[in-house]
Amino acid sequence: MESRLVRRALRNRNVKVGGLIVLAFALIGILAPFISPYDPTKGELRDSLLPPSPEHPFGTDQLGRDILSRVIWGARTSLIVATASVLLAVVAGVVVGGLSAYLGGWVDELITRVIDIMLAFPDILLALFVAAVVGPGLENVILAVALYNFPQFVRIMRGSALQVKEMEYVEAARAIGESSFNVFFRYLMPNALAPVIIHATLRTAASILTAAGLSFLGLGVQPPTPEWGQMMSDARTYLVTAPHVWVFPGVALFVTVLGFNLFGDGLNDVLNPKVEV
Amino acid sequence: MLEVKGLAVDYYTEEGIVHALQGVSLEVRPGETLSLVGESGSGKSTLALAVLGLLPRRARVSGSIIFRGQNLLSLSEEEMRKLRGDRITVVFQEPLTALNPVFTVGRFLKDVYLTHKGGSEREAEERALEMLRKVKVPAPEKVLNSYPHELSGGMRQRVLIAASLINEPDLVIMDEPTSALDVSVQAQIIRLIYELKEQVKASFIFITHNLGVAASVGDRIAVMYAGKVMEVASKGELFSNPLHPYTKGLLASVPRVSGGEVKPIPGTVPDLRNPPPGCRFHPRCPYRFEPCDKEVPELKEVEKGHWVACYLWR
Ligand SMILES: Nc1ncnc2c1ncn2[C@@H]1O[C@H](COP(=O)(O)OP(=O)(O)O)[C@@H](O)[C@H]1O
Ligand code: SF4
Ligand SMILES: [Mg+2]
Repeated sequence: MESRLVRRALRNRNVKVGGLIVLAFALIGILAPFISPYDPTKGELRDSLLPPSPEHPFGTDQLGRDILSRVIWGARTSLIVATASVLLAVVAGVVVGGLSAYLGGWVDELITRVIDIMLAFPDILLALFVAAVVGPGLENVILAVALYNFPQFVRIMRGSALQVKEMEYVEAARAIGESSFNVFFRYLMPNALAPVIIHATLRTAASILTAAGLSFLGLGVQPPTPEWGQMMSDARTYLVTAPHVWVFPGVALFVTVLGFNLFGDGLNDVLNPKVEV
Repeated sequence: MLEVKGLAVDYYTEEGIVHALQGVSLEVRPGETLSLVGESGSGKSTLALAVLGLLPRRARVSGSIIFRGQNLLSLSEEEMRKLRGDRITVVFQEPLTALNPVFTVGRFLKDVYLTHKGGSEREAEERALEMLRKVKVPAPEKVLNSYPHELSGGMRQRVLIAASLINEPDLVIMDEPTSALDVSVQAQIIRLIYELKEQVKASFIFITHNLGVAASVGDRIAVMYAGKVMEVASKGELFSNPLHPYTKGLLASVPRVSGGEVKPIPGTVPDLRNPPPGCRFHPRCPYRFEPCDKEVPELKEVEKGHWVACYLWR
């Protein structure tokens, strides 16, 4: 059954194209120290704002740093922020959403209320708010983006777990004397995870975009760490005179986000889950 | 072994209080099989869940359930957990969904054993294999490493039956274990259950809505209607000498091989949110007379070992 699913997934064009982009992005991020031609944080001021050339294929920025190297290292930053924030949100969301469904009663009601309030904020506003409160920096961006993803995973996990909870094997688990702890972690959770995982790939795209947005606004990753949003923000002064400074990180961001969205949508089509946010 | 006395269960729902069981008294003797028969909605599963301590939170329970000298209704959740799957086990109706899709059959069986008996993986695996052989699963070594979706419904039900017997329980409850299976598979599983109950020491409560099946498996039969036990007798006695008007109606409605008319009981099963006063069968009873809608008739031993809840037999 699983192999049939994999074959169907590989026949899906969105999964294929998106998957290739995601794979390339991940490889570039992981291999950045080995494939980057220059140190992304060092540059000669006299080399500033050079247009693309064989020596600097993407040109240089206002501080004379190699933009190709900064785009490559920027992939690494995005990879770290997106993976860490989504993972954090998934783990917290799965536990809170799962418990909410499992325990029911007032616990469920309270959690659902709080999540509703969090979801009432427009997406980026919540991240902006957190980033403004905790201040800029890599860890804080991760925290802010995780918090903005968290309520969605709670809701999806809760819905999925509510369905699984009605499955007879959950009652059967209690009937063989399994402890509540085991029923939750070994029966309810693994069976409720599928829609959460699909949503995680979709949220990765949004998380990369949000992190870039925060950095663009100066609330995210701080210089000299290379980050696409922040690179574009730095390029605002040279919008017309040196467009290569913002075009390359912009294209990198666009393609990456597109790749994750294609991949997630394709997976969604293949697995066709019933849960929606 | 098991003695249920004056058991009442009410479900508190948004649409009202469902009086699912009322004044139910029953006894299960060591080593015997009691068949519990009744139409859908008569409270058979509710009784099973009450004994297992698995009723939903919205259910209120009163009365007593004495198992090996202790009242199950006064045990803590942890004490009940230790009994479940060990001393009291259950096989549910739906074998297709009763197994966790992420575990192999072997993992499941070993967990049932290890949760209660402890011991090593090796011991548990040997015991699991032994049980699979006992329930006549072909190629047990292979089934041990299979996931539930790789097995047919009948095979899964055999696995669940193996799990219900792996810890040598005192009481096994089977709640319509064949109702969800194909007719041909049903007969095989019923034969298996019949053979197993002769081999093991446990007592069985065998729940079914089919009188014929109840008779083929049970030593004694308890007939339920609308949350009440109406009649209890040995199966020979019940078929040759049914006393309760509902039992008589049921027997008349069973198609006979010898032919003869099938006469369904007129009327419908009452809404248990608002059950009829007095005898719950009185709106459909052709014999009803003056006291029937006033007081609830209690179960009385009319002849030796033959109990009836009806004013005709006072
Ligand atoms: N969880 C529940 N909540 C509310 N009512 C229930 C619940 N389970 C069963 N009932 C009601 O209790 C009565 C007995 O049901 P049940 O014990 O399942 O009967 P049976 O197993 O004989 O078909 C029915 O009227 C049913 O609607
Ligand atoms: S008590 Fe009355 S109504 Fe009930 S079964 Fe007996 S005769 Fe019929
Ligand atoms: Mg039932």
